[in-house]
Parts: sequence; C-alpha cells; structure tokens
Amino acid sequence: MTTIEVQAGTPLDAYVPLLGRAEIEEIRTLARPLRGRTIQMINSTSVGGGVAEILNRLVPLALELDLQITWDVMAGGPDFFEVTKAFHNALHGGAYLHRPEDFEIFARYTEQNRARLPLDADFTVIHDPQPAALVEGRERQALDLAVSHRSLARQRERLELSGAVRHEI
Amino acid sequence: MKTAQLPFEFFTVAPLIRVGNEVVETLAELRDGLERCSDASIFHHTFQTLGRHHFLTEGFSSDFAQWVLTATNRRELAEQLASLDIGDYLSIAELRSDLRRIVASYCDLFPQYANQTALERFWFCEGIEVSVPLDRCASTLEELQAGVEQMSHASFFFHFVSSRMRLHLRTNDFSLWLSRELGLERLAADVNRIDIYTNTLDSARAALVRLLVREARSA
Repeated sequence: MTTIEVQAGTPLDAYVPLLGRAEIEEIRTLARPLRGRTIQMINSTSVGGGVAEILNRLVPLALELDLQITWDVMAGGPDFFEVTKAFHNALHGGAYLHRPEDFEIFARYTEQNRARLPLDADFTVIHDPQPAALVEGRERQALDLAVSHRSLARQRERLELSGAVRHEI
Repeated sequence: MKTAQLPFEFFTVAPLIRVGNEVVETLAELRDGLERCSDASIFHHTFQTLGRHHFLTEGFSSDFAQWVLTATNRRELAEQLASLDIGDYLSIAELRSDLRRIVASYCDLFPQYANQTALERFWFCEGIEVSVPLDRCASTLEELQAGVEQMSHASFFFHFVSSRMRLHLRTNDFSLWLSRELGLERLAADVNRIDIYTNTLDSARAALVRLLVREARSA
C-alpha cells in the first residue's frame, strides 16, 4: 500500500471562467461543514486510467477546501491484477471462466492490504473492483462508498456527495 | 417594498447515483422493468436527466426515450415517451404508469419489435437527492432576484424542477413563495409557465430574473 503525494494543482478559482462564480462558490459552501473531516481515497494505480486522472486533480482541490484527504494505492502482484482484470472484463460483459483459485488470489491480496492500511478515515472511497473487498475492513459507523467507475462511466455520470438533508423520492 | 413573513431559503442539491442490478435489452423487458424498478429510478431517468443535460434544448431529456431511440431505433415510441411533460406529474406513480402504458401499448401493437435485442442494454439507476441549505435567504423581491442570479445550476434545478415531486403541487418553489408570501399571484403564474424543455437551465433562470425585474419596476 502506497500513499500518494499529489502536487498542488489548478486552483478552484481558475475554473470560474469555465463554470461561473456561482458553481465554484457553491462547492466552497458545500465543503465548509466537512472542513477537517478525513477522507481516504483508495484505488489500484497512481498513473494511467480514469481514476488516477480524477484523483490527481480532485485531491489538490479537496485540500484547497480544507478537507483532510489522502490517497492510498493498494499493492498487488501480477497474479492479482490478472484476476482483477478478468473481473473487470466480465463486468463489461466479457466472457469469464471462473477458476477456483481466482477468488483465493483476490482474497489473499485483499487481506495483505487490509493488514497494512488503517481504514479509519471519516469517509472512505474505494474505486474500482481491485480494492472493492477492502470495504469489509471498515467499521460500520461511517459512510462508505464503493464506486463502480465502469457503470458510472457508462452512464456518463458524476458522483457527487455532500451531507445534510436527504430526500427520498 | 413588501417583505415576506417567511423568507425564501436557498438550497442546493447533489444527486447521489446508485447503479442498480436491473438491466434490460428489449422493449418487452423495458415494459416489465418500468413496473418493477424503484420510484428513485423513475425519478433519476426522467427528472434528474433534465438537470444533468441542462445545457441542451434538443434531443430527449428522458433516458428511457433516448435509449429507445438510440438502442432500439424505434423513433415513434421514443417520441411518445419524450412527449410526457414531467411538469404535469405530481407523483412518480402517475409518471411510471404512463411510461409503462406507452411501452406496453407499443409492444402490443408491434409484437415483432417487442423482443428484438437492442444495440446496447439499459441499466436502471436510482437517484437520491442530497439537499443542503446554503445559508442564504430572501425576504423581498429584490433579495430573491439577487439570490437567483447567484444560484448554481443544481440549486436552480432543485427549486424549479424537482420541487414538484417534493411539493406535490403543479408549481415550483419560487412561484409558491411569490404567491404565498408576497401575494404576487400573476407573477407566480408567469414564473410557473417558464418552459423547462425549450429552455436550458441558464435561459430559464434568465427568464425568471427578467420577470422579477419587470415586477420590481412596475411596483
């Protein structure tokens, strides 16, 4: 497990000409009640792929908003990534022939990472299938999010979260 | 200048999207899915898509209509689904019933298309609105105008579009407040007539501001 140090990025105000002042100010308003809360992002790579692209930009923006955000990358050998790639392809509708050892490999690396990584942030966001089972290591008092970028990307959605009143439709 | 007893409180909203397990790939399956899926799913694929594609005035804002057109190539059905104006509905149950009825009628009329496999599958998602007070209030027409001018798209969507499902009234938060608190019935009706389908959220908001300015000048 590696904690990624992200360089300072583009400040929020640089987005005002693109999005308008109202959108940016609202982000600041939404972040204010979360100031000081700890947020942990977990994925499986620091470079390449959509999640790394997002986090490289999202983490500096969150820091600018005084959120205590960290980004951890899980460790795994070639056998682990071969298995999770097969899972990934199956989730995309590809053919997948289950081998008994696949889930053993997946469970073994998950357990190794879980032993090394404290999952004690106020919010933990787990990206993609590779670290998905780490969610079992969380105590249930906090809000957890397991994000499937496959489905979200497919739907061209952005996942946004803030806290206050929740309207059940 | 008339001052309201109860101020207008500005909120914003963040949509939390949950991808479900229900997937369909034929019109017959869509018909059945429309019966089984949650209310939050109907809300997401009709109301929330209108907010998400707020910058468009062409094409279908309903995900159901868009999928029927692009994945099954049944334009006539897509147009029927898209012709449902969400502004006419006060409950998801009514909207669901009409969506399902339209698809079921089409399947009955054209059984040869009902079980054709679509080019891509449709995944039912669910939308949950997480709304947050912005600590901004308006007690007068001028304060409301200033607040509207500073609103984000999400905030405007919350008060103008999705408010109907919350209020269970054929109106929106602005019109309701203008009518109840300031007694401006005609202005409230004019605001409620702003068409969300032929406008973007930006142009709808601009239309609202124009109405507020006109009213303030005539007072």
